Amino acid sequence: MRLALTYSLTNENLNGNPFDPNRSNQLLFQCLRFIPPQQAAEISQGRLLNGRAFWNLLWRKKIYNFIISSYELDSAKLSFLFDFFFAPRKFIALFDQATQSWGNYIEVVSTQTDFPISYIEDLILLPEVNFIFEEVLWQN
Amino acid sequence: MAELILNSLTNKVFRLPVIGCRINSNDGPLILYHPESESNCKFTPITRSSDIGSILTLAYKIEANLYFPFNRFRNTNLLDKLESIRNEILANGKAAQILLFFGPKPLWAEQAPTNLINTDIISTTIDFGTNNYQNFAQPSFSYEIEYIEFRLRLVLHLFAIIRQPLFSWANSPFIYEKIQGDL
Repeated sequence: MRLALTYSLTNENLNGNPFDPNRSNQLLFQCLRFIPPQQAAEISQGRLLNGRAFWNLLWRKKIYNFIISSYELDSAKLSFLFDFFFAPRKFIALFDQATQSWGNYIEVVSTQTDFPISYIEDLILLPEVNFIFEEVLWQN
Repeated sequence: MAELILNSLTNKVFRLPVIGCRINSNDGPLILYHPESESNCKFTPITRSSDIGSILTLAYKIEANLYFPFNRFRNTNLLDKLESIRNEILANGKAAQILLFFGPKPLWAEQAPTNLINTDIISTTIDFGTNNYQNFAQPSFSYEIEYIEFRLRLVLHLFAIIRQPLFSWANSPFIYEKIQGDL
């Protein structure tokens, strides 16, 4: 899966904007592994004192999980990913193989606190980054 | 990309017995010749599988095991030299340089065997890397002493990692071949 990562240090909102190949602060990656976006939900459920059960859907969210592996990474790209991860606003755009076109930007937030880097076979020469993001403002 | 048709192999497959290795260090080189025939060397890819089932090669491990029929450990300084280089590796993380030789001897190797039986004119050297290579070669070694067939022998394990895909083996700095006349 090809995807584009970009970020904004200001309050610029790209959510829903068409993909711009000439945008600065943007890099394209061919991910080693891209899990199709998963849907998850937060649900409040329980039982009232009168015995009635309740089930309330609080919100739903879409989760993006992808791996960028060492064959795509050098020090400059790792630096970009570091800036991307800690930027206040992060956006991704996905390439649709079926239509051979780029989708719109999607704003995402991270639930990870540490930069999610690991090293294949414990070799510092072979870094790998596994991002898990949630889409912002996704509704159904 | 040129087509490569591997036919007419008669008399064109060279025998290239490993004849020795050289480990460079700050104290000078350690050169060992005449390993046993079961010595071996291999390049192994480090791979990851992708989400569509393909396999991607990220790096290569180079490993060689050299068996030396040697048992005069007490009366020579071989083990002291190996320990000296090992301490250097502990300090630096890698050896200065490790070379593995196949076929006829290099020019500078005065004590190497001159005439090899049933070999041809190509010599090959595998360079496990030096400190000059940034980010992709980490040569190191370990050794063991084993008892086999009424004698002791030294087993030298050479090891290195190459990160960059070797897209140009023909021009690779890690394997180079020379015609004997060039030596």
